[in-house]
Amino acid sequence: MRSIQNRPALAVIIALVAMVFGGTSLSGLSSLASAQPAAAQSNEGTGQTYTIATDTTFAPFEFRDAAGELTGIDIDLMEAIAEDQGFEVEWRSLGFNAALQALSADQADGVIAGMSITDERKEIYDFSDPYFTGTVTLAVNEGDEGEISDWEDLDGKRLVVKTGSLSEEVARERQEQYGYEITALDQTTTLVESVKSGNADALMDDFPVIAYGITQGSGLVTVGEQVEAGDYGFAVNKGQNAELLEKFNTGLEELRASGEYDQIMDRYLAAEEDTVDRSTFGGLLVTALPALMTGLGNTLLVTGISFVLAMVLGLLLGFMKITRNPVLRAISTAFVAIFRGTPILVWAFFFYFGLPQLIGTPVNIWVAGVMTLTFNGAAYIAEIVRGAVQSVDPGQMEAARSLGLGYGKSMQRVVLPQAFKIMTPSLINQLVIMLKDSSLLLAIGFAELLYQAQQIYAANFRVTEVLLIVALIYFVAITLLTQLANYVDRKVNK
Amino acid sequence: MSTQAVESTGGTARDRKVVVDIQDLTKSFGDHQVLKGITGQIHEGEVVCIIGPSGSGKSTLLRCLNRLEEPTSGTVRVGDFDLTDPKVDINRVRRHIGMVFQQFNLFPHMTVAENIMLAPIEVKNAARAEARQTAERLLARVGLKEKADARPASLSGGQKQRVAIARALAMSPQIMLFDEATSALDPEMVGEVLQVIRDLAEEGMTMVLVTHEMGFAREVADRVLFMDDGRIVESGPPLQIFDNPQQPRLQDFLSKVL
Repeated sequence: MRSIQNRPALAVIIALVAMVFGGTSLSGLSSLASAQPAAAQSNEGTGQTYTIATDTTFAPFEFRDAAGELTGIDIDLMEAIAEDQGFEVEWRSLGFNAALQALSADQADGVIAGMSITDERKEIYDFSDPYFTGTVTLAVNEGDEGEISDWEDLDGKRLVVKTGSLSEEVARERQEQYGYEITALDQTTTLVESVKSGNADALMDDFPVIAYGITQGSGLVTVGEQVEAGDYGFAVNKGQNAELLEKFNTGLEELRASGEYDQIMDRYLAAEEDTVDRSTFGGLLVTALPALMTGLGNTLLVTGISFVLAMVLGLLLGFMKITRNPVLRAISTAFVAIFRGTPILVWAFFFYFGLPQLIGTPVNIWVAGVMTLTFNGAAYIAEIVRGAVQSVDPGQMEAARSLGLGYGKSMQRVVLPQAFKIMTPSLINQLVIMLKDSSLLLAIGFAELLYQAQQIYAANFRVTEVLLIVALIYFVAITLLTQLANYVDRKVNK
Repeated sequence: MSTQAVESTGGTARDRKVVVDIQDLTKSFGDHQVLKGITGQIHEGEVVCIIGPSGSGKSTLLRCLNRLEEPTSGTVRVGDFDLTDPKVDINRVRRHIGMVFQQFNLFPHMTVAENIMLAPIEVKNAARAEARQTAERLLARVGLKEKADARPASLSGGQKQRVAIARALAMSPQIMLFDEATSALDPEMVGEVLQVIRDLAEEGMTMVLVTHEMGFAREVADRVLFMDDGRIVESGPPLQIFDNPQQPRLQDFLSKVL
């Protein structure tokens, strides 16, 4: 069952921020997926292309595989139907709310995103025939299924459910009958971790989500009777794209008849024999590493670009702070105060979601990310520069000036080389901090290292192990970077 | 007494060219007036020593001569330039004024030769090879030829100050200013620095020295200025200042330092 709480925290944050910035348009989000305009009225005839919007991560319905490719039940099903019915699909992976926004704005022809068919939604959208019947299930740690095999065994046990979801409703209805304690948590990942750590005895959540986690080695087993929780459907705008809906329904029927439908479901929901044993740590490493390496690449690149720009801006601001010109000094002081006195996250949201509404055009996520890290870093570097320049003996400047060198030349040839030597350790420190701070960009969906990790454990619920791997990658990367910086420092500053 | 002070010693000096001309110079730091009206001239080839107690304004007066301190009022002319004219190109003026500091202020990130070559290359656009030649010649003159490629940190205090003098000489200044050039040195190194200054005096270099070395002032100065409380209290040839002081404050000062 789909409700806003059912989805990764990322989507919640994005939705909240969108509300905070008073936006009805989430146009900025579109750069997550593709910069190309919707292809609603493109190719006529059989080879027609439809733009289909979907969520970013709602495994097993849609998520990114190890290679970073969009995959899942919704994706495979739509592709199979498209092939059967002879049309093309252009995917836009936007996030659940953004996908619905895109549909309303005619930037997409349809949405398939593990969406429940509800009466409220029927007012706005036309739904296909149900392609999946959602159920909620109980799950316990592997090995505990002897002790807790069904609802009757829950007496006196601690059950965790997701806040505001259908599973919470069901759990509360049956609480009196079965006598368990309920704790409501906000994410599936948290539910799984609670059970795995022993803080809770059992969880209840969407069956497909839990079942897919099990195929990925989450270490849980489903137990007991499943409870029906509504049907999932493919949606188009009310009164529009009737022919697409028709094609979907016909195609779905044919897939069910041919058995391909079952194949797709089994692919994601049945624990399968795999060449890699995913349940081991090694197996996890093999499956997760490609995506994590992509993330590391993005982390290093965004940090590198931002650090170079922050150096330039920080030097400029640092000098502005020590000039005699009160206007320049005030500008620099204000800049430093603002960016040092506010959380990075605020600026990430502002540049990605707020700025597009001010300037009326979407801001690329790289631009937003680089701006965020650059401005924050520059504020700190400005202070480092100011401190280092001021700590150079004033006699050095006097000696240079008394030889007839101008202020600029004296700075450049005499003061700065000494200041750089003083500030190098602080700058290396700043670089390391920036590299770690870049992980905050995951909140706007920037595909850096920690974001990739989140995507992985949102699908397989192996939070601790994935985070351990990520911590190790950060540690190695930062250690190597620090060594390199120290080496350069020794070479340059002798 | 205060504004009449900086008079030349002998009849011949009056005919020589005026290198420094100071009129009614005052300098305040906030409410505190450090220089309370200084007037006088220094002529070409003259060696002037400024003596006086701490806080009397000696160093401030010296630093006004190349505008490391901005005069509050009055005029200071050096050569053909009016330093107190806001439109004057101060970097151009400073080429002609060498300055030696108490703390040497050598550039620690450069070699000894690079310290000396910096100004000729950056200010006079001298070719590197030519600047290097000049540096080696000047180092030979101060007895440090073999230290050309050493780092300042490896030198003794006396050696550092001799390099600093060579650095100032590299711009062929019209006048040299010494701000307590031997005060930061260990006693055994004072002599080697004074010898370099003595040689310069003999070559006819115009010099102004703020110093605590009374014996040296007596030996090399053409004229000694005694400053107290922001004014020149007494000035004259060393014989007069040291052996026949007129002002009670000078008599008092000498009784303490001699």
